[in-house]
Amino acid sequence: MSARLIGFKAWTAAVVLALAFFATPGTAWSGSAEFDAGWQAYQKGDFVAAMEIWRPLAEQGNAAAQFNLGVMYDDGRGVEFDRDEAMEWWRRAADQGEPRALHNLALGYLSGVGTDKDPGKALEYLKMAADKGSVRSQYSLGKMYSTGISVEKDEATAFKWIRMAADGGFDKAQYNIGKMYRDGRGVAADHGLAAVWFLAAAEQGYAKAQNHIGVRLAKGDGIGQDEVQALMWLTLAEVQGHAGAKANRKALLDRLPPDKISEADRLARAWQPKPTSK
Amino acid sequence: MRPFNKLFATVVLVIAAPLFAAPAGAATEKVQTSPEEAAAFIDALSLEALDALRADGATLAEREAKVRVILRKSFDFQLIGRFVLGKAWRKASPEQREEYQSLFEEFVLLTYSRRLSGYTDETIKVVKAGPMGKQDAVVLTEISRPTGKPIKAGWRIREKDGAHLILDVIVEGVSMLTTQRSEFQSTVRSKGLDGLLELLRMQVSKFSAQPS
Repeated sequence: MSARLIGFKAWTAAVVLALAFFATPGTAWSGSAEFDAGWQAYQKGDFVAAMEIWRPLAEQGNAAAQFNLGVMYDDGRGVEFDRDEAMEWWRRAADQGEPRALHNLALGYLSGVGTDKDPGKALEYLKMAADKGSVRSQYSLGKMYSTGISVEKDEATAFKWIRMAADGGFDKAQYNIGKMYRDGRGVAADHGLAAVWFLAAAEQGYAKAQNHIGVRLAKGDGIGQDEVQALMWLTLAEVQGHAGAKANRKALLDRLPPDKISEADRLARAWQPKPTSK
Repeated sequence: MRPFNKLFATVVLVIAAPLFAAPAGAATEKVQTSPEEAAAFIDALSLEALDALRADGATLAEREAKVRVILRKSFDFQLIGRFVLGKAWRKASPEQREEYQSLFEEFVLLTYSRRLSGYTDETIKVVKAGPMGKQDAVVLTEISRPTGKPIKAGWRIREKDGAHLILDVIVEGVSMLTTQRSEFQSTVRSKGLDGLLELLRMQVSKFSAQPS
C-alpha cells in the first residue's frame, strides 16, 4: 500500500515537473485546452462564446484559432459577415504555413471576394497548400490545369496533381482520375485502370462514381461483368438522388431475374462506405 | 398587413416572368399546385428541419449533414440549376452539364446548411398561401428569432409526380433564384462556363472550422 502511495507521489511529482518545463504560458500545450473549449462551444452553436475563446488565442498567434476566426467571419457566425476580415485572419494563419488557410485564401484571390482578384496569387497559395499535402488543394490545382482558365492548360500536370489527391484518398480526385484513364487525358487510355479508380471513389460513397462503376459492371467494360454488383451500385447512386443512375438502374431491372434483383437489394442495404479523406 | 402585401407584390413581380417553362419535348401535364397542400408541405418541412437543428448532443457537423439531407429532397435542383445558368445551359456539353448540376447542388446545400445550422431557437409560421402562375403556389412565412425582427420568407412550390418541391426562396423580397442567376451569368460572361465551374469547385472545397 505505502509502496503504491510512494509510487503515485513520485508519478505526480514527475508530471508537475514535466508541466513546469513544457507548459510555459503561451505554448501550444496551454492553448490547446482553451482551443478545445472553443470547439465545444462552436459545436453547440454558441458561436459568440467560441469567438470569445478563440480570438485571444488567434491574437497570440495560434494558427488554428486564426484559421477558425477567418471561417467565422466568412460564414457570419458569432459575428457580422466580413470577408475582408476573414481574408486577413487566413492570411495570418497562412503566414505560419497553415494549409487550410492557404487553400481558402486561394479561393478568395480566385473569386475576388474579400480582396482584389489575383489568379496568380490563387495559384501560388494553392500550390503551397498542395505541397503541404492538402488533397483538396491538389485536386483543385489539377482541375485548374485541366480546364486552363486561370493557368495554361496542361493535361499531364493536371493528371499529376489529381493523381496525387486520388492516392491520398480524395473521392472526387479518384473519380476524375477514372475519367482521365477512360478518355486518355494526360495519360494513356486504360479502361481497366479507369474502373479501378471509379470503384475506389464509389466505395467511399461518391454517387457519380457509383453510377459509372455500375454501368461498367453491367457491360463488363474494364472490369469483369457482374450484374448483381452493377445493380447494387446503381441502387446506391439512385438513393443519393443521382438522376442518371435512376434511368440506368431501371434499364438493368428490366432484364434481370428476380433472384439477382433481390441479391443486389440485400447487398445495397448492407453496404457501408469506406472512410473518406476530405 | 402592409409588409406582407408588399412582400406578396414583390413575389408576384419576381415570378411573373415564365421562369420555368417546361423543356421542349417534355410531356408533363401542367397541374396547378394546391396552395393549401403547399402550406402543409412547408409546415411539415419546417418541423422536420427544426427537429434536426435542435437534436440534443449532435455536433454541428451532424446537424449540418441532417439539414443537407432535408434540403436535398426538398428542392428541385435540376430545374433551379438550369434556370440559374440561363442561355449557357443550352450551349453546355453533356460533361459540363453533369459537372455543373452536381457542383450547383453541392454549392446550394453547403451554403444553406451552413447558414441554417447555427440557429436552434427559431420558429417558422405560415402566414398565407396562394397560387402563382399556371403551376405553382407560394407560401409566405414569418421566421422568428430570439433577437432581431422576424424575417419574412416566401417559398415557391411546385407539385411534381405527387411530391412537392421548392423552386425558389424569396427573403425580404429578394429571390434566391434571380440573385444567383445574375451572379452566375456575369461570371459566365467574363470567364465562360468553365470559369464558373472553377469558382464553384473552389467554393465547395472551402475548408470550414477545424477541431485542431
